[in-house]
This record gives sequence, C-alpha cells and structure tokens, in this order.
Amino acid sequence: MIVFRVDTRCGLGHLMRMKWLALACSEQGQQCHFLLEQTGLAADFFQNFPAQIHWLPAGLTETEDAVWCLEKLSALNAAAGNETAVQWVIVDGYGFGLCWETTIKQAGYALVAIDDLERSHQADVIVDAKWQGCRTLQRYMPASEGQTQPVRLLGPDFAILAPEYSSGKDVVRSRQLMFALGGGGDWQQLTAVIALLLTDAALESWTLLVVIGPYAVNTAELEQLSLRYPQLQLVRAPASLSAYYRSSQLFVGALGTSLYELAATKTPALTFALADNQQNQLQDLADLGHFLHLDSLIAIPAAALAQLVLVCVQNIERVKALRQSGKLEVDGLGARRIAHFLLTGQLPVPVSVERAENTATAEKIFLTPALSLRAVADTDINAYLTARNRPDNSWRMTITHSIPRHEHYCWWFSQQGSQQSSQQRQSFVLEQNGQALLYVWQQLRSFQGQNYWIGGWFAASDQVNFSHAQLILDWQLQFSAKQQPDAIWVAVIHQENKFVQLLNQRAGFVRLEPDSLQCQATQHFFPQADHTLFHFVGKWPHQES
Amino acid sequence: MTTAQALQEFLQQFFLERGVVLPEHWQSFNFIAAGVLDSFEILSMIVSLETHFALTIPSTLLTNADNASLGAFVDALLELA
Repeated sequence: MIVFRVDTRCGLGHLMRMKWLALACSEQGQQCHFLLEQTGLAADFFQNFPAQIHWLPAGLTETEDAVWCLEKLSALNAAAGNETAVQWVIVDGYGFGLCWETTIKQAGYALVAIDDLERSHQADVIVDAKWQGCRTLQRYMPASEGQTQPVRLLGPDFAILAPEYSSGKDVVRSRQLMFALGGGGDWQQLTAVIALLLTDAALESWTLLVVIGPYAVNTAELEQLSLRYPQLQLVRAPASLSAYYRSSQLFVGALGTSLYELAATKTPALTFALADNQQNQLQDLADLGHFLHLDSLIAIPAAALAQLVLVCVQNIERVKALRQSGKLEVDGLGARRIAHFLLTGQLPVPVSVERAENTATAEKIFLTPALSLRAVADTDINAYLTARNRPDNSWRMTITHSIPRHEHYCWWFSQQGSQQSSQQRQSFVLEQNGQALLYVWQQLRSFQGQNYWIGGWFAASDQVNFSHAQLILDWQLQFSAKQQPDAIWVAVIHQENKFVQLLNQRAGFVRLEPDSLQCQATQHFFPQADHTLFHFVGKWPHQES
Repeated sequence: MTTAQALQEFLQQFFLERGVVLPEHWQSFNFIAAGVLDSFEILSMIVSLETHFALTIPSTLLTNADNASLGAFVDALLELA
C-alpha cells in the first residue's frame, strides 16, 4: 500500500503528477490512497482515479496535518490487518516542511519527498526531475557527514508524466497555436495578446486553442472573444493535453509541468515563468530543446508579445529545428521508473544521456590550436543576448540599454538569417576550447551605389583580451575582403574606447571627413550614433594596415 | 637594427614610462599575468614596436601564452625581424 499526501492549495501540478505516479504503482499491484484537503475540483475529476481519496479537515496547521495523517496511516494499517501495510508515504507539496516529514519518519514510515525547489528533507527517497545541468546530480546531498544519505532520483529520467507521453507517436501538426497557463493562471494579460492575434491577417487560417485550467481566473473576455471569432477554441480542464501539444505548431504559455510534456512531444514553444519553480537557467532549458523563454510577462506590452508570437509563426521551421536540437531525451517513463524502484528497490539505469554538443558538428575555423571560429546558429540565440547585454559591452554601443529578451527574439529571427549570406547579417563566435569568448558580426550594405561593410564585436567572457580582439579584427578584414573586395569598411567607435580606436587605426581605419559620402553612409547605417560620442571611421579596399 | 639588446632597451624604456621597473631577470617576467599593462597599453606597445623596428607583428603572437614572458616575446620578435 502506498499513501500520498499532496498539496492542492497552489495549483494542480502536484496532484496531477502524483496521479500518474499512483497509476504506475497501481499497475504494479499496489493499492494507493490519497490524503487531500478539499480541492474544489469537480467530482468527475476523481472518476477512474487510481487511488482512494481521504479528505482532510480544513484549516490544519502543518503539525496538525502531520498528526492527522499519522492517525490515517494507522487506520489504513489496521484496516489491512497489518501494522506495516503502508510501504511508502509519498509527500508532494511546498506546504509540508521538515517538521511534517520528521513527524512521519519518527513514526517509522518510509518516506518519499517529491520536490523541485531543492528544499531540505528528512525523507528516505527524494525525487526531483528538474534538470540543472551538471548540478543536477549534486543536489540534496546530506548537510553533514553522519547524516543518512537518501536515495536521490534526480533529473528528466524521473519526470512524472501521463502515460500517453511515453509513446513517441509522430503527428502532423496543424495550423494551430496552443495557449495554456497550467491548472490555474490569470488570463487577463494573455487575453489581450490573443485578441490582437485574432485580428491579424497572418493568422487568418490558424486555430487559436486556449486550454483553461480548473483554477483559472479572468476568463470572461476569452469567452466573449470565442463567440466573435470561430478560430478561437476554448478547452476547459481537459483530461490530457498530450493530443493538443502534438497537434500544435507552437505552444505559448506558462512553463511549469509543461516543460517536460513539451520536451516529450517535441512541441515548439514560447514560454514564460509564472512561479518561482518555473525560473530556469536558459542553458538548462536549451539542453531540453527549449530556447524561447521569458522570465516574466510583466512590463511586456501585449502588442510586443503578439508580435513575438507572429515572428515565431513566420519562422516556425527554425523554431521547430531548435526544439529538435535538445541534448536530453524525455521519454515519459519517469513514473514507471520511480514505481519500479519503490516496489523492487532496484535503481534504474540512467538513460537521459547527453547527446553530443550541438555545435560539435558545426564547421570550425581554427585561428590557433586553441581558438576556433564558427558561424552563429539559432541555438546561440540566448547566449548571444547574454553577451550583448554584458555591462562592459553595452556602454560602447550605440544602444546602451539592455535589450529585453522578447525584443531580441524578434530581432534575431528577422536579422539573423538561417542561411548566412553577405547580404544578411553574418555572425560568428570565437571559442576557446569550446567556450564562447566573443561574438563578431558583419553585414554588406549599400548606400548611393557603393557597397560598404559594417560590423562589430563584443565579448562573451571575462577571458577576452587584446590579442583576441586583434586576432578577430584581422580575420574579419581578410574574410570580408574575400567575399566583397570592393566594399569600403565603415564603423563607429565610442570616443572613450581608446583600445578599439588604436586597434582599428593599426588595421588601416582612418577618421572619415564629416562631409564625406562615407560619413553620410555611416550615419545611415548607424542612425543612433552621435558624432559627439563616436568616431566615424573607414577603411578603403586594398588599403593595407 | 633589431637585436635582442635593442628590443630589451626599448621594452625597459616602454615599461619604465608606465611606472614599471623590470626585474633583474626580466626574461621570465610575464607582463600579461602581472597585469601591469591594460589592453590599450599592450596594443600601444605592439604598435610602437612595429613602428620603431619596422616589424609586422601577427595577431597570433600573443595568443600563445608562452610569449607572455618578455624573454620569449623578444625571441619571437627576433624571428620576425
């Protein structure tokens, strides 16, 4: 017998994942019981539920909750005629802390804690499916040497998903955008975005599917919109989202439990965080093939977010390719693995083996044995912005403020071509032993019949020094001259940036005459460059340094 | 003429003008690790060396960490002369 204590006071995520774990346990012959506070959920939610439900009285403190649970556990043992009938107690919820766990443990029960916030536990087994890169397996270590080491089931192998996510069925994705905020969520802000998208001609033939959770608020306007726009379809509290994920071109919504469901169904996604446990390191998300994530919707105007959704739709093949580039596989078998361990004591063999680095196959130019250069790919989308926004870079630029991620994503898909050609912006990254040192870009432009090269570079690391800058400028000038030998190089250099001024001077750049055509061209290419802050410089073709 | 002695004297003077007195065993002095010159000053040194000795110093020369000690740096410059 396995008893689950699940917190239903902050959304449905905990209850849903424990339902799937209970199902996996019951498939292996275990009787399951859930101890729940009143949820306000419709009774049909619990139809065919893989466990018997026992309702707690309302308003208990954490200590009272633990005492009540102990009494229930004793009663279940007594009813089974066996003092040790309850094999495991599984607890999932932020409302149950060390005090609760200690009470249950001291009564002699074997305890499993489910977590995703790396809290302290007294449990025998800790399950946390969150992927945190190389930190993943180092979490939940005992605080002191004498402390008993819990069994730690960590990482995407133990993501608890509904059974339908374990079948890797290929589907044809229709022209459908899916919006969801999980079990709860406030729809006010996203409704404004959806309203804008409904009136956009580019999405005329698309279905906008909105999945409304049972605890959702501010949905009245969505209801009204759905009456006016037949392409807006509302789905209320469906039993499973799997089919919707698999049939949608793009998911837009909160990143919570959806992270692993999206990864398992390889659904392209634009997400944002609504809660603390949805804050993720971008690189960790990228390992799962998820690249387009906003930390918050606050302060992003509806029109800007709608624009970003449209850009994603217009570049959907690139967004799909990003989804496929993840290093980790989520196979949806986490619940079965955990159940198998609980019932047999056998630890599963890790399967979420990292694929080779995405960039390993990219063509690299070795400038020295340790320094290599490769074309920037869409998988660099977040790292590129992180580098661009470093304070030691942005002060030298014509736009000195930090670029918000949603603006960057729009810019990236419009400016940063998937196929690099000289007419488009070409970007490269200089790496040292695989770690990004600096980004360099260039673009061929035309002004009054004359071709010009414009470009620049910015550091991605504190390790960048003058020799890297010198190396990359030399390479860039040679590379661009081979592509378009007759173009004039022009640039703007911040007047305080003496180093780059000298670097470019050594490479043959000279100050442009204020009235010259080249100076006009430079101003045209860099409209935000102010002559009082920047030097306008140029280098003519075939001019040696 | 580019000789080891001429380069040594040039470098001693360059560092001295920036408040850095080179140690007696200057050959093993790692001027990058010591952090006595910033990027601009190192580049100024390269440009000055190129102008004074009519050298063209490749950008890869100082990406090789071995050339950060003055003795190796002078040897590398002599090979360019």
